[in-house]
Amino acid sequence: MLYDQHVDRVYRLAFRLAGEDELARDFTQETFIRAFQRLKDFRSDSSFGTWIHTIATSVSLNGLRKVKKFRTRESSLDDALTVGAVTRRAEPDLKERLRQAIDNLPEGYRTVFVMHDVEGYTHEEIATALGVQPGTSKAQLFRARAKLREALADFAGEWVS
Amino acid sequence: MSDEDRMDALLRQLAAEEYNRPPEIVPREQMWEAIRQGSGKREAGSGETAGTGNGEQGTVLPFHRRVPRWVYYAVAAALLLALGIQLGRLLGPSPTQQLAPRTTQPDSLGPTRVSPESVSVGNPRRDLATDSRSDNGGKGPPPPKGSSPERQLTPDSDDTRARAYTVATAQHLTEAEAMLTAFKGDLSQGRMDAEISAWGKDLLSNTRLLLDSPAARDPVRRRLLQDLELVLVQIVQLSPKSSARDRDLIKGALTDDQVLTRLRTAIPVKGT
Repeated sequence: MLYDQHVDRVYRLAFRLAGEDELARDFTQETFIRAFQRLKDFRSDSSFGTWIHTIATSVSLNGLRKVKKFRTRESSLDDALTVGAVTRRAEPDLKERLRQAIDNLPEGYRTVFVMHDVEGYTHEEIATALGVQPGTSKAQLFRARAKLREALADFAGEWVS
Repeated sequence: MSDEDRMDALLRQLAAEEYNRPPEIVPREQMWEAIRQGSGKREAGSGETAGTGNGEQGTVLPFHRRVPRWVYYAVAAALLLALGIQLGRLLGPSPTQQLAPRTTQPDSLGPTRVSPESVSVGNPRRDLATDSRSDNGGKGPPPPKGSSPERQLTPDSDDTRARAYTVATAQHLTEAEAMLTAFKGDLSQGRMDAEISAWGKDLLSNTRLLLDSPAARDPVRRRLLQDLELVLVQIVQLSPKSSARDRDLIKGALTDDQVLTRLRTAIPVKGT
């Protein structure tokens, strides 16, 4: 019952943060395994949904840090093998620029932006999940949006019009 | 709405539609199966499973969670206590060690009585004799003064009481033998040491106390104590002015009754 109630939202958040189905599944599974193991620690003064999203956020962010470190080492090896090769990139379109801009946000900004603006979490839910004050969540969202506007400034004229 | 707000709204809409968009169908069953397997692997050996296929919790706690914490504390306290007792038995003095050097007189002598050892202060000759034939065979230091067997032994135990009297008697006989040996030496040289006379008084009083105690229930020991008492009475009454005849009488008593020989026979080898 608990699994059925919350698995969709947990998986969606994990996917938004990870960007890959395989990682999202791993994070979701890990979240529920930990939740079941710590079920006796769950205090009924908060909702189970809030509690399990706290676990999900922690699992996803920690997992992504590990993946990022691993991929950084891999990409360093690839770069070393292609030294001197000239690559020509096509001008990325708006979707790709937006993806890159969000990916390049600092972790805290990106997490708050994804949770609030993309997945619709409230600042209170975000604050609980990340262990910060709601004001901190709001401030980080404000800065995340500002950075995105700055990164996509050359598209501003088309959008506003 | 400002340009910034408009741009934020567009970014939000675009991000929600395009950024890491999850699939419409969430692979619930596959993930649940993986969760069950993952929980099984993690808890293999500890007896815990995560739940059932329909999401209900079927948790079986491992042993260390089923047992209340106070049980661990109680077991730990009991183990600590047992360890302390065992250490105390190993490191503390054994009952024999407690008994031998301290049982100088039975409790019937009373706590105010002077023990035979206490007389040895200021009597080097007697010290020498006592040290060489002490109740523990001269293997250890002289016993502490003023200690009573009642303080170390269980008073309710008949066996313990009998053992205490036996040890006290042996101690007394050892001392008497030492004193008589010293006296015999003086006798052969025709002189009388005043310290030996005082020593004899103490031994006489203790001999009489032992005769009135359970230590004298043994007929052989009682006879020996009686003969010793007689000799000691003669020695105590002896003075520098006494005649040679008096000395010969004592010498005859020692020889005829074989008091010294019987004393040496009665003294256990290890003073127990």
